Amino acid sequence: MKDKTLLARLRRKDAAALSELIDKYSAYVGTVVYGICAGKLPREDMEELAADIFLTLWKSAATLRADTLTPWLGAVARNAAKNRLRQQNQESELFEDRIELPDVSPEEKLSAQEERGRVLAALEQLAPADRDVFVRHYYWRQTVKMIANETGINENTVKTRLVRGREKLRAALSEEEYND
Amino acid sequence: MTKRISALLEELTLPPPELSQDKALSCENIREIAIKKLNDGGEFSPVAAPKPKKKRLTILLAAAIIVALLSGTAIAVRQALRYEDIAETPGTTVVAKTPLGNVTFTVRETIYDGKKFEFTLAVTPPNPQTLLFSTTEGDMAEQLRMFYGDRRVLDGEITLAQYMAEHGYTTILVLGFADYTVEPDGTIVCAGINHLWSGSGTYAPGETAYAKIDVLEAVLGADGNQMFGGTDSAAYGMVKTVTIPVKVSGKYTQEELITTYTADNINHSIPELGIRVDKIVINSTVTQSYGKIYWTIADSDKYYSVVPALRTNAPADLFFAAQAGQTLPNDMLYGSLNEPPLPGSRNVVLDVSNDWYVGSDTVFAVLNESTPIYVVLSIDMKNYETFTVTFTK
Repeated sequence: MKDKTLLARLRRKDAAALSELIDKYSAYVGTVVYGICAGKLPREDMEELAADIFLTLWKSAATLRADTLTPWLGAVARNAAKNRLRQQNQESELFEDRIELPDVSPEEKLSAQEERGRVLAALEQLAPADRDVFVRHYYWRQTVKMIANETGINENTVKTRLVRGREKLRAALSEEEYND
Repeated sequence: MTKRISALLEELTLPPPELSQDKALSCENIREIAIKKLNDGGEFSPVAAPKPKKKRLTILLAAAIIVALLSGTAIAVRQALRYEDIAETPGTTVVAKTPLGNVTFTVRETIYDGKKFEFTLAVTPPNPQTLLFSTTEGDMAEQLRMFYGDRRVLDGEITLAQYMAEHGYTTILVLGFADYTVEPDGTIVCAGINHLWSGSGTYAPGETAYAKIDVLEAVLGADGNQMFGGTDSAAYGMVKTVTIPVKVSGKYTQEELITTYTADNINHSIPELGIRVDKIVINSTVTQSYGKIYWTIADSDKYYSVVPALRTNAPADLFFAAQAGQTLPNDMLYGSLNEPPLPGSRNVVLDVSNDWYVGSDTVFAVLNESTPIYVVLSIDMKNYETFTVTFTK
């Protein structure tokens, strides 16, 4: 059944529709929550957090208009997980989160869309294994230790891959690859 | 100038890392917690919660739609494809020239009920090595990139990349629509195409309507990188728009196709709203059912005290169920209020949508049995009424 249809049924407080949405999206929401909270929250708390995300959907159905719920659920799940960790002071320390970029004039400054495009392009240029590690850390906020556990590589290798990703991103945003 | 990497990535929508089955959170536990909290909060629907149905998705493309992601800003390059060989409808064939070969779009069927125009299209891939794939409109290239290595696309069993390797597909042609069936030879038949409305929103017989379909060609690298045509990266796929002319046939008119079902003498009072529901009429065509609910203001003071809330709350919905907790087959008879119930109004028109071309027949079958139909009238989020009526043809 289409998300739009299920959403319309949610607006009518149709609990069966909520159940179908949980069937359909619990794996996705669970993966997002687990990706951020694993090792920091017990499993039961992660499941409760995932349930809360579906309750948020239930309560938001009246005003939510979407053809597919994946982006909405993904964003809500990610924010909810991060907020939960923040409340418990369990936010991940990120490995060298800052990059130094050359100063540019206002005319040379990238628009948000250009910047987003370059970040995406930089990610695409990374080898899949490097990209996976980079995104896990800086986007999903998994610790270096957790990434090592999840992917079966040692922590130093994780850091090496993060450094490669940082360098690629820095180059992409420094015009180095666009001025040739 | 210093920037935080996490902030740079913040605005992107990226798929979560794969999670092994043993680490996955329990769907049943999540459901149990959610439903318990709803019950505790008194927000649970009086229509009851039937036993959840497990739906295993086995069809590649159907599954792909379920996880259709991202509909954000399209950054793809758009070009208009040329078409040729326009024939009469149905049977109109449009051949879209692509670097992968010619893709043929054939109009299978058109239906126009005087209000709504729908048609089905069959899409034939250019060669056996090209897999037809479908995503929602939007950033198709980004969606495909995410599908490619996502195991959930194929019900947790296999990734799209693995499926392609196993079946000898080397390229993908992505079509931007969501409703379709797949025929044994791989032809996709799609309905409910995003079409370009005429100025008035309706068509005169003989007038030509245009379907619009976005097409993305993807050529796969061995490792899944550089998947898309040309030198662009994955995020810059080549999305092209195919426009297909479809002539509106004169033989379909609203009058010829309409069937009316009426439930009158309902006499159901809703004291919280100060109204009494008197009659519900459904006019069904092959594409859609148009419902109309009639009510009388029984308690003016009450009614006018809640009208402001009715105007600003979520649209009222009318929903029919075969019995408590179950929707009619194909989920077809429900809809949202087109307009707020203005003071003094005595009837409200509901646009009762259904899934076209299978929906109406099923509705007819159910209604012809003269079985009681469970009506759920949701005026707003807090006022939710159920009652039973019997329609007669």
